[in-house]
Amino acid sequence: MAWGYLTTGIVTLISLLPPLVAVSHSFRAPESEQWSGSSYEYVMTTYGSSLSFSLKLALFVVIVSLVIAVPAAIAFTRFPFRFSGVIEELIMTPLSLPGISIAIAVIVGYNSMRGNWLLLAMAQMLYTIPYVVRILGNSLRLLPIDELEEAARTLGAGRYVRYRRVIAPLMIHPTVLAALIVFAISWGEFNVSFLLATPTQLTFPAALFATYTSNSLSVAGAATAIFILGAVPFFIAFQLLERRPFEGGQGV
Amino acid sequence: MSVDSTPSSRQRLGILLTLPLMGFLAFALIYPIYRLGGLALTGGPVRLDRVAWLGLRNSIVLSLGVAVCSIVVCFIPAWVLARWNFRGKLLLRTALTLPLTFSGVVVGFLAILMIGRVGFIPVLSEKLLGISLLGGAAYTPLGLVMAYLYFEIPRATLALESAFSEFDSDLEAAAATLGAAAGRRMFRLIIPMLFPALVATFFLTFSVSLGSYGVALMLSRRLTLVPMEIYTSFTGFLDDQRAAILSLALIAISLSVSLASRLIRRLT
Repeated sequence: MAWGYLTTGIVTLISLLPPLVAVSHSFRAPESEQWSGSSYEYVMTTYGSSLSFSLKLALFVVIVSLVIAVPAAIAFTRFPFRFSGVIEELIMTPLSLPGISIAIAVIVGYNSMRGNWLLLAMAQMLYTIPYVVRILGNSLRLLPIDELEEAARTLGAGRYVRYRRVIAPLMIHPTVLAALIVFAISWGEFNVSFLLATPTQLTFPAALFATYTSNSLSVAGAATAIFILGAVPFFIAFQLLERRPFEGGQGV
Repeated sequence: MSVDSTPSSRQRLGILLTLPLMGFLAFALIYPIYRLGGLALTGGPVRLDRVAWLGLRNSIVLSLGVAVCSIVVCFIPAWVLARWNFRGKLLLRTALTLPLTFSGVVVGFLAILMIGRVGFIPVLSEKLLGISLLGGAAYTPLGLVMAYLYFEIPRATLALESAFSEFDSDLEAAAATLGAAAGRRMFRLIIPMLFPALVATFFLTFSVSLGSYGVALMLSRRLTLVPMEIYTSFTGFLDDQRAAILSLALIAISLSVSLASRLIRRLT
């Protein structure tokens, strides 16, 4: 019992210490040892445009990923067809392929579009769409939709009503979860962003790298803190919203 | 199944709903990989230079080591998360999986912050113990392993946790009532039963480390690693073909590992 807590405690410490150190560096003024927020000011003025670019890109990626993936997830689980299994497997493959290879492949495939942010969005969606399919697919498979739909039908509900009042509400929860994850993935995506980076097309992670190669730990720490700030709310919301039906291995 | 639609009309609806995804698949995945293959294979048989082979060897060995370490490190926390219930559990899971949000570059930077030449750990150990531990380790193989491990801990923990939570505790309870001590139960019953999950997590961790670019970008000063070779070929030397060959090599390795993992799970 004690061993469990001890090991877990140590691993948690290892997890949380580095970002805390980064944040502590960020409050130091570059020259002196005093506490100051000047590094944050610097980051916001120099990289403010990357921040808004990343946010806008992430929003676009969320919307398009959902539009593409949600109908497909519904199809895979409730309206399967001959090759739907294969297609579902295929769309999952980017998750098990090395990020750099995919990034190179996409750029090689569309070399002429290198300056176009749509290429960047498309590359990010290679990672986000599988997650939406997986989350929605799992939910749709676990929920007793057939029974609920059948019950509604015997009570006289037509197809449209059944969809609107039974199935659609059940899909809200997983869709919100999926949107949160997509945002976090797009926000943190580095591989393709970095390779496609231009001064006008700089995502925040790529800007982050620029601060890492500068000589100021303080600025780098501040940029890192802002990056973490952008990712953590989604992460926490995900943890809070995620309901795990088979907690504890007791089965249902 | 709804009775007021025929099987083929359901299938047609399925195809219709999947059309955008299929289009995306064709444009975003299939075509680029096809072009990548084409580029790699232009000019006949594929040849790689010595540095590339060195990079492949280093990357594979490094990723194997990280995979083993991550299973050892994450086993207990994953077990605790999957099977114990206590207050503050959500906080624990959040804390453990927080690094999931850090991309590779961030992890590389954190490694430099912690075990670089004037990193947190050497400075602290200097003050407390008089000797500076791990100063400058970030760029050494050991430091790389530690950095990659940090990168993998949340992934391995989540993967193991989901497998552990499906573990049937009845067998373990039976063994306990028959008098088996905790250690014996662990090694002769639990670990063998969890073997497929451990294998799957091992391969997952291996694949992710192998392809991780951000960490290599920040830390691979003295050690040649494949992601960096791909990067320098592509952007520095403008040798797109070499980048393509190496990228395909990584894809091939990841795919074989994924297939091997599935085969092993099916066999056990």
